[in-house]
This record gives sequence, structure tokens and C-alpha cells, in this order.
Amino acid sequence: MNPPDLLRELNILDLPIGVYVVAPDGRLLACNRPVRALFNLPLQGDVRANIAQFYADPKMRDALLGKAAEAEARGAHLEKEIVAFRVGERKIYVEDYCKPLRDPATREIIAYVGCLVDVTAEHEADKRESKFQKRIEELTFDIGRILHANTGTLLMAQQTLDGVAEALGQRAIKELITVPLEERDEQLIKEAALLANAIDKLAQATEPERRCQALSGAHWDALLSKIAPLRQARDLVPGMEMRAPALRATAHQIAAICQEMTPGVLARELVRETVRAAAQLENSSCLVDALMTRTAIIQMDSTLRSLRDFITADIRVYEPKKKLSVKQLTDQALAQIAEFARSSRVDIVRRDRDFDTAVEGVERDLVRALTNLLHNAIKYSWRRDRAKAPWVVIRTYARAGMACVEVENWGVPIAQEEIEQGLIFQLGYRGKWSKDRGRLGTGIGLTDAKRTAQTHYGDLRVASRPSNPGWIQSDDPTFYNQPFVTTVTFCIPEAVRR
Amino acid sequence: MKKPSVLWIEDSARFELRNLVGQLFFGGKYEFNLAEDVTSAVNQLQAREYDAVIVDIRLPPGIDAEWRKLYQQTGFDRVHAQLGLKLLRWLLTRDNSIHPAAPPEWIKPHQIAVFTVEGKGEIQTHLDDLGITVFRQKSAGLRDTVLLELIDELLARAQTTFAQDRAL
Repeated sequence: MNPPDLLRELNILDLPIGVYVVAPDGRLLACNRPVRALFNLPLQGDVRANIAQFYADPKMRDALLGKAAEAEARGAHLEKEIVAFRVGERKIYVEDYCKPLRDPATREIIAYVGCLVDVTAEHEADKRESKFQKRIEELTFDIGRILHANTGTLLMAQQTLDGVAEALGQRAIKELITVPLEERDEQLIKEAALLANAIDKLAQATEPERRCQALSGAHWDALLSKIAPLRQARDLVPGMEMRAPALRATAHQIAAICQEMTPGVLARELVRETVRAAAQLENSSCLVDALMTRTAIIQMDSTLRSLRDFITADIRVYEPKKKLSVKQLTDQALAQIAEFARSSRVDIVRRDRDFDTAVEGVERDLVRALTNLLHNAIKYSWRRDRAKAPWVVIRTYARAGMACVEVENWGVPIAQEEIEQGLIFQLGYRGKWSKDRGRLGTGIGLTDAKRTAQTHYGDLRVASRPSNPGWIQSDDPTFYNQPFVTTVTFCIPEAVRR
Repeated sequence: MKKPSVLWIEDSARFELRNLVGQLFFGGKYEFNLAEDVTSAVNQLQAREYDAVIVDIRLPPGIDAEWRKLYQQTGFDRVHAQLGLKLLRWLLTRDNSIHPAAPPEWIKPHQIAVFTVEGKGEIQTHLDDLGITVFRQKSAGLRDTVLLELIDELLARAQTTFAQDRAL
């Protein structure tokens, strides 16, 4: 069949893909309408074009013909080869299916016949996706690296604060952190009153004229103006968290004024008592401040670790599932959270200490999930007994073929609608009441724990109820101001016993 | 002489920013009050007049149902809700689509400063709309006197505006 006839036949068939016949030198001998449209050629009449002129990379044609020859030698033909063409300013991508046509007598190649499918849109989308994917991988790597570097900085800050606290408290840090902050706050209030008394005594014991020889009137005014606030420190500053810095700044100002005193004018013992009381108060309030900041840093460190682990989970080397002991997983999680619990002055009460069963899973993910749950429980615990530190209860048990780890705390509520609507499991969601008392959080912990439970064919359940049901009605605006008992249960199937 | 009254609306004052407030309580220069969420801020603003009000942009709603609803509708987190801006808009434009209650009559833009982590460029249009000129961004490295300085700046501007108004 000669080319014009072939062309007619191809168009009559009205194929949805491009069909072509080209000479070995690239001249288009025949092609149907889709090919003409693709290359912006006249839709009717002679083609008068050479396919070689459209190749985005002119070397590509030779390579393609070489592949077609190789395929022919294997008894196959070229398939789904992506070829880039340039038509005017536009770059297009096609899938090419092609084979040589040979003269039956001489076995010489007289033409190539093939099909073209325009895949420009898909190809562009793939390219974009792969670019984004690469970018995400780079970003994830960067985030992981930055978080890692920040963890180092936090460690440095924590250790510096440990040193500062030990110097101020004259005790080892592990002893210092056992004293509840409420006790330290009481001590600060006493020391503030002592300082007020010392200033008062100093002023009372000296005649006004003599006083002015020791210090300017403005300095005396400043000193005397501190007496009443120091005595009323408890009522004047709402909340012990702000009391320490307020007292520290005041004690520092008083100490600075004392340094301005002309020596030998005022009773030496009374001056010394005032200076000592100011230094003591500054020292104690600095210690409280350092310990509170240390707690915040350890909390942030724990949050960053968990965030880093979560973010880099997809780019880490695949870790196969293995048989693991629930007791060991819990022990590992407890060991990871121990410092945070200590610095937050929260005790972990472990029930069913002797219970153990096996599960199958990815150790790192399971430990991270349990650590997240413990972290939340510690962070959202309130003190319920003046004589005891707050505590978090952890129970492990097996039920209906599932191994369960239950973590319970007493403190910040989770609203019922947040549980029912699954909001608490949404990535980045922070509970309505989770910001009380300045708690840091990422909103990843529960999402990650639930996801981990589900990828291990299990689930995560959350329940939160008032500690004393019926005390306050749920429509009362103060309903969520009362303590709640929150129980989070992580269950995954027990490993099949062999 | 009556001390200037100051209200700081800031949910991080008690913890992260506690060093900024220390000097205010014992300094005796101002009558200082703190509101840690929008509901308690509104209660305090309704109860009395303040000479200076410093507002954070990312605020939790507190227990008021309307503010909570608004908070939930705008993303359920402080970053997206920017409840501080909504509070300011309600206070200064009396827009009751934000909250049905009537805002206090006494509050004017020159009595307000914004102290937030947002960059000025991010909220400049809002500040211009509302006529707020005193702004400070929270960032690491701030001196612990930043709040005192902000209050002094705000009170000085308020005084100038007051004098200008009287001259007119």
C-alpha cells in the first residue's frame, strides 16, 4: 500500500492514538490526524515533515532506533518509550511503540511503523510530584538535623542550669528536684518577709538625718517602698510561677541600693542583715527560677525528640517487625521518660509489675508511642495530695487476644466532643484545655500513638471523666475547671504462641 | 497620685514570659493586672477602665461560649484563630458579628499596644485598620525590661493623644 492510501486507511479507522510510518531518514511517510495535531501539521494533504526535526534532543532518535533494532532482535518491539519532542515553544512527551518494516526480499529497513500516545500531562505531573517528593525528603532531613542540633543545645542548657541550681542550692540536682515547688514558694515568701523586716529595722533604728548621710532620699524611698510588697508577696503576685522572678528582681534592686550605702553611717549589723536577707532571697528565687526553666527545657527536649522521631519515621531504614515483650517495651518507654517525670515531680506508679506477654511489631515505633502517652500523662497531671507528688498510673494486661498498656492521669480534662469527633487524634490538634499552666505540646503524641497502634492491627482508646462525677454539671462553665481522670489505652494483638 | 492601670492580655505570662512581669508587681509604678484568655480579658475590660492595654495575638478563648465558638470555627488553635485580633476588632470597631455583647465604651486605639510573636508585616494591615501604632514583636534576646518599656511608650503616646484631643 502506498503512503497516501495508507494515510486514508488510518484516518478512516479514526484511531484514538497517533499512528505513523517514517522513512529511515525520518521523513514522515504517513500519519493519522492525532499525529498531525500533535506536531501542528496540516490535518489534510501531504505531510512534508521530518520527525527528526521535532526531537528535543537530536541524539535521541539514533538511540531510539538502536533500541528498536535490539527489540526486533529479541523478537519484540519498542514499547512505552518516553520521547521528548519540541513543537514550536512547547515541549511534549509521548509514549512511543515502534518496530522496523523490512523489505521481504532484501531484509533492508524501508520504514518504521509505530504509535504515539501523548503523555505530556501525566509526565509533567510525575515530574512535579517527584520534585516535591525530593523536596520533602530534603526538608524532612533538614528538620531532623535541626531538631537534632536543638536537642544538643537543650542538653547544654539543661546541664548549665543543673550547675547553676547546684551552686545556688548547695546540693546535688537529684536532691534539689525532689523538693516540691510549693515548698520552695513558701520558703520564698518567708524570706521576702525577713527582708522586709530587715529593711524596716534598718530604717527604724536610724534617725532620718543620719539615714540621708548613708543614702539619697530617692534610694530610701525605693527601699521603703519595697517593704509592703515584700510582706504581701503571696497576695500581690498571682501564682507562684511569677513570684520567683518578681522577688528575684526586687531582691536584686535592694542589694544594689545597699551597695550604694556610705560605710560607717548606719548600724553595721543591720546593714549586714539587710544585705544578707536580700542575697538569700535573690539566691532562692534564682534557684526556683532555674529549676522551673530546667523542667521546661526537659519537657521541650522530650517534645522535640518525639517530633524528630515522628518526622523522620518515613526516611529511616525499614525496621522489620519482631516479637517483643510488652514488659520490656514499657520498661524502655519508662526509662526514656524518667528524667522528664523527675523534673516534673510526677511519680509513675506501675501496676501489674509481673505481667508480661509478647507482641509483634516495630520496637522503635512502639516505644515511641508508649513514651508519647506517658509524656502526655505526666504533662497534664495535677497535684491532688499536698503530701504526695502527682502520679501517673500505668497498667499492662491482656484481654481477648490483645495486649494492652493503660496510662491514667489525674488533671487536665479532655472535652467529650474532642474524643467523640476524633479531634484529639488529628495531627497538630491541641486539646482545648491542654494549654493550661503553660504546657508545651506539638499535637503529635496521640496521632502518632493511634497510627502506630493501627499499623500494628490494634487501636488506641481515650476516656476522660470528672474525678468526682456529679460535683459540677456538664453545662456549668466551670465544668472543665475540675480535675479529670484521663485513661489512654494502647492495645495491639498478642503474638501468636508457637 | 493615682497609678496608671495596665492590663496585659497574655496566656504565656505565667510561664514563658514570667521574667517580664516580675518588676511590674513590685515596682509600684503601675496598677498591674493580667488576663490569660479572652474571656477574662473581656471581664476585666468591662469591669473598669485601663490606661494601657497590651494584647497578644494568639490567645485562647477562655470559658465564654461565643469566644469558644469563634475559636473552634477558625481552626481550633491559637495560631489560626488569632483571637487577639478578633478581640481588638470587636473592641475598636464594635463589630457584633464577632461577639454579640457590647464592648466597653472607653477603650481607644491609643490605649492599646500589641505584643506578639507575629512579625509586624503579618498584621500591619489589621493594625492600620484599627489605628494601633504601638507594636513590639516577641523574640529571643528581648531584655526583661521590654514590657516596662512598652508600657511607658504606650502611656506616653496616650498622654500626647489626650493633650492633642484637648487642644482641639
